[in-house]
Amino acid sequence: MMVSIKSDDGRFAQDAAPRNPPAAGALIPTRRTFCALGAAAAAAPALGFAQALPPARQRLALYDPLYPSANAFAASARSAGIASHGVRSDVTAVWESVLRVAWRDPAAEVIGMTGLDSLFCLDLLARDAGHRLVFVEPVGAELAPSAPTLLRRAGSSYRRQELTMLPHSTTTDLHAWVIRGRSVALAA
Amino acid sequence: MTPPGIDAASFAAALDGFRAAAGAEWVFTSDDDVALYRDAFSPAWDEPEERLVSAAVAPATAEQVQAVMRVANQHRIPIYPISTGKNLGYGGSAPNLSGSVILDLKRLNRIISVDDKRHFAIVEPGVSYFDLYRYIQDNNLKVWLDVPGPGWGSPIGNALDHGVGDTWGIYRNHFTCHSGMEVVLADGTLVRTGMGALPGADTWAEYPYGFGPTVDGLFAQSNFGVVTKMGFWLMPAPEAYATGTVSVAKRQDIVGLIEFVNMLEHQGMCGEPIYGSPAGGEQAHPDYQALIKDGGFPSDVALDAFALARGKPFWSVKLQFYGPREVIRAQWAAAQRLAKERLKGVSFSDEREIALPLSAADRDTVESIAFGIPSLSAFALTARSPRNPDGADGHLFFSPIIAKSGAALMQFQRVMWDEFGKLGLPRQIGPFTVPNTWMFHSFACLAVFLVSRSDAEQNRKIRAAFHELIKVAAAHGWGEYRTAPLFQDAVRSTYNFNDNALLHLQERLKDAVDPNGIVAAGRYGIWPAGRRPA
Repeated sequence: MMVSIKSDDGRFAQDAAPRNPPAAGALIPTRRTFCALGAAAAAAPALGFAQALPPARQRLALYDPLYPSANAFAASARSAGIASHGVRSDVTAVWESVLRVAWRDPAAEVIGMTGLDSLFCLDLLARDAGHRLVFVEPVGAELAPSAPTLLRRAGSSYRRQELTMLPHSTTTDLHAWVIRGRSVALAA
Repeated sequence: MTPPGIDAASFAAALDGFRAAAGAEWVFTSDDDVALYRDAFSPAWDEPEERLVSAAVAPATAEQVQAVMRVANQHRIPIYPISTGKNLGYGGSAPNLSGSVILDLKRLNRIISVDDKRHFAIVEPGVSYFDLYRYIQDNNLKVWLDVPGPGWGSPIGNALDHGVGDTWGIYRNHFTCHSGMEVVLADGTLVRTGMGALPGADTWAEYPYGFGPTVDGLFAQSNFGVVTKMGFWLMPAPEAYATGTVSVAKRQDIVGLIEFVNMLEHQGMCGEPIYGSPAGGEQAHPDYQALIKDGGFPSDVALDAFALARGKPFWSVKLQFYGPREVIRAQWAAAQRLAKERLKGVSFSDEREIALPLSAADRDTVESIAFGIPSLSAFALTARSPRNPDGADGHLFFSPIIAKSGAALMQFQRVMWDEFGKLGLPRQIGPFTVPNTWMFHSFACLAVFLVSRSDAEQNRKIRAAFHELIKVAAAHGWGEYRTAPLFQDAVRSTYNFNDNALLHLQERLKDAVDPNGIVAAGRYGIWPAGRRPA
């Protein structure tokens, strides 16, 4: 039985795929273009950021609606023109209906703000699809990044990420993260 | 890292050979790629005991697997085959022998056949439960899968590790309901078993034995070859599902309850029975905490009084029925009649009937695993989140097999209660512990250890405790049915009848089939001659 998932702007998963794939010769991210665009993004005001986002062919945002910070993150993603999908711990439905298709594109970029329970599964599923978790950081309530800020922080760098639970004394389990295609990540 | 005993030049030559066999882009040697094959739940993370890999190669066809094996044999490179590599809790994708090259079979991902009239499937090892489920749904086929907890695993990989599921009788034992294999041996020879050995036979996935001795068991929990195709029996999609719960009041009533359920299940009257302890849900109550404050195992009289005071039955079992509506209704009615005849003070609750296929509304209210629907919901049980504040970086299963009787269960509870106390561990086995019922004719009783990636001392304690529990369990005749590579030698040493005659036989077979010892050295305690412990 399949589960249909609507993105938060009401589109179904298949509709969330890019309607205008890049024309031949369109900008595909490389270390140089990522750095250049990252610098431009850093200088862009938040509301104007959508125009300055690095041109991943397909960019999606996942968030756990249990966390207020993640809801704000999702709103910032939508403002930047990024389709967002809620995930509550079990990633099965969003993977089946959204990511499985999205990750066929090696240039797809998935960003998110979720708990580690979701991220653990996403990390392993991404590997199988030839994608890599390239950036992850814990999110404190007062420090939650917007989607554009997360992309700016992640930049184009790639360092292998190993997930480790935070000590129980830490106040948050929420993490912001970026998953990119292996070839894109390693080329950076 | 190079494989043990292999010099850099030989390893480089082997890698070139793998590239020629599978394509240069499918041989992985960078730290970034190779690190992905670490056991994500390793209880020895970043310690010398952690099992690491030197490289990985991912062929796409059985012919490429043959070519890879020939190269490995030529250069004596230890190979560790994985299907989807998701055997988390039992070792993940990490090998027994550090430095092995992972033979990653994810690209062998073809669904060869699914037949919903004769009820079977033939698949390759890179096919996941998710893949097969989706194929069945997309093609509107009237068969069910039986799936393990996490659906991202491979039916072949799971069956070969003696994995289990949660629907109906024989289908829950995934190796038992396989039929026919295709295997690449260490020297590259391609072998088919059962009816697969008869060219032109179309009964590969239906009649498992073929002609003569069956050898399929040699390829499960072992290292005699690389399975590249396998057939499985599938359950016809039932018309309806029903469930009802049978409860009994006192602790000793578990003896009669298990006998009753065995009688039902072994004659095909119900699917997987799920035992519970309603009284056990009250363990946080001060009255129970007072009962155990001195560390002793509470008496049955005290436990029964506690359950009575809390207004809870001591034991329950959820019975599950699959089939035509009138049949499952009759089965539940018969189960209630038989229970009343056999069990004193029995009560019934939670009756429910569900039309199949599941509606979207029903699906949100059931455990998908009982309906053969793969998911990843099990992982919410381990990672820490607001829903699971005690989560950890991973887990490790201690999973001995015990007899399917109340007496065995209660003995297991007492022995493990004492042992966990001696080890200074929280007593996760106690008077309310219920058995896992995946196997058709035996119980498994699980303990789960939470592991850390940052607390090596905690992991060392867990490993030491695990080794001790293996010994204590074995002393009572309880053996692990499955374990991670880190503990396979220890468990293997407990299956030692007649001076390890079984292991010696397996070693003789290993030496004959894989004389260079290249396939999964050490898997399930079977080491090749050159690496055998003294």
